[in-house]
Amino acid sequence: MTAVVSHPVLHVVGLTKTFTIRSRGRSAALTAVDDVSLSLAEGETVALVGESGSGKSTVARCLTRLVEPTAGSVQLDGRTLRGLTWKQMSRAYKDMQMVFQDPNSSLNPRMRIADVLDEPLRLHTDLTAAQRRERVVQLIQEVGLGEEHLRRYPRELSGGQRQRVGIARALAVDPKVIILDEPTSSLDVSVRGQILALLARIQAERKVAYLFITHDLQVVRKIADRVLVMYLGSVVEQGPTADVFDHPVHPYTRALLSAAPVAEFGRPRTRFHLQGEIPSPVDLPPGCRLAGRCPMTRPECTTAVPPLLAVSADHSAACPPALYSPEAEPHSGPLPVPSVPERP
Amino acid sequence: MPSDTILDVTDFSGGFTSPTGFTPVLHQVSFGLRRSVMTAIVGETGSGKTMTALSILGIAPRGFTRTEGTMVFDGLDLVAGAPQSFRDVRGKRISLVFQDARGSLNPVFTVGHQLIDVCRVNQGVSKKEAAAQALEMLARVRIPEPARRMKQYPHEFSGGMAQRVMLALALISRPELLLLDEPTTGLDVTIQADIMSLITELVVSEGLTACLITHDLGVVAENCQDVVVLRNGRVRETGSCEQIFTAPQDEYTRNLLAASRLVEAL
Repeated sequence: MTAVVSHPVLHVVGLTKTFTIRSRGRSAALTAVDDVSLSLAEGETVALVGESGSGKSTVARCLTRLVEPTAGSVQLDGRTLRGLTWKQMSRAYKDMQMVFQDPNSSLNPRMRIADVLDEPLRLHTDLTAAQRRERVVQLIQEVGLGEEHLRRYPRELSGGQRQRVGIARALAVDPKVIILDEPTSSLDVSVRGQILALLARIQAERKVAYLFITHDLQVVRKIADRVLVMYLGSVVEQGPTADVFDHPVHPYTRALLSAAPVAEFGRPRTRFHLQGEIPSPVDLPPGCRLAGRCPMTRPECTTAVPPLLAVSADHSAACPPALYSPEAEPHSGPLPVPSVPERP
Repeated sequence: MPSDTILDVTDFSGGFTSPTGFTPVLHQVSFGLRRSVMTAIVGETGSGKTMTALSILGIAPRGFTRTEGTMVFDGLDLVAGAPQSFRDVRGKRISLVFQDARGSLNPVFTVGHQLIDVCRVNQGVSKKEAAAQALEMLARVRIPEPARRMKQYPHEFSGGMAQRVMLALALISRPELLLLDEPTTGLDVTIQADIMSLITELVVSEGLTACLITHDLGVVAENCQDVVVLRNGRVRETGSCEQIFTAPQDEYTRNLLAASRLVEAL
């Protein structure tokens, strides 16, 4: 197979994950991820943003098969990941690695850093012990730490240093895709900047693609080429980062962007308000997920889930243009749907 | 004559005593909280911001000892007096809102029960009167259907709603000074914005003095008037919000601002 220029390294179509939950003898469906499609080109950074309960972390877990997706296809470097045996899977996963949010719990406290970095090499490569040792030294230096850190245990490192080790571990097997699940959210802002700079440098050198899962909109703006905004399991808006940030279309994106605080004095703020809080994802009513919270809700919003419609060439949103165009007026009077049940 | 500041912290120093020795954590921290103003204490991990707040209330963890300095609240010396003299101040004239609201509420009592308790202890009113005040307070922090919510337990509340309950608990004793320790950390941005606008609104309508302890300069820029920048237990800079954000004097403040805005430091 000859590679095309825009050949995606990761191609996901219709990813869906439904959990069945039982409470008080009654079973209900919880759709954590609903029909999510995305693709990632070589050397590209795509951000997946959303608040708690949006399903962004479940997407990451489905991709890495930490949970089994209910439906959808995942292609990694042109290879379909469904229906592989565990053995084939683990080989395929050499190309897709993950960096977790909490570097404290994602590093084995009883392993020295050298062993943490050696483990993926032992599992995925045929290198000899001496070659692996050399590679481990290269890796620790690549993430800005020194050989002296290799003998230490995770508890002897700071949060930022541990996250560097997490990144080095992901890089060990030279993956094509790295999934980063909130890699900077447990770090101080000054350390956050250093980690982002490190990630950018690694990407420039290795052409690795990042799927960056975060709720930190400033980080998205800084590093992502494209962004997907999720709400209650669905992608509600996607496009090039600058387009989405400068011309957000979907009411949820507008609410999210307008709520993010910015460290500037006297910056005028106009908030786009949604009513109430994110509802429980169990047994959702038909229609737009935001119906009932959105000031633009019309009766037609409650009948079917609106599809992603093109706003411009690469930018699309799951909201009909009639509702977000400048002429559209917020709905006055009571909203047409009863308020959704509150989250337990 | 009431002075311009409600709380004056002067050269406050302290640290932890352990079998291996003494580790200082606060070094001559000095600042004042102006009345009816929201002051931010900003710092990163280990800056001593939470330890400062806990010391104001005299609830610093065991092992923490003050070595020098004073804290004067409205003419009352908070560090010299006996612990009993604290009791009239702590939780009554000074209230604290913790970061983890659901973790700070008592899981085995309804929120109504907890509100009524605080109200009765502080004001000595009847149960009925306390219940009426609790209901009113839940409505003021804009919890929908307060009467029904009174009867619910903390686990039935979302993070944002639980933080509103914490605010109601802090405000029901009609404090003069409200300490907020990372009140919106861990909440989603839309919920954070709602909670912060509720806090600023209550601070203005009640004429409260508030002290917001946070690491988020974005929240500070949008809600506070005065700023104290702490690093490694030392005050690096104090000033008005405008000064700190538009003309920071200290190098660390400049770096922190640059890191918050994700731009290169000047």
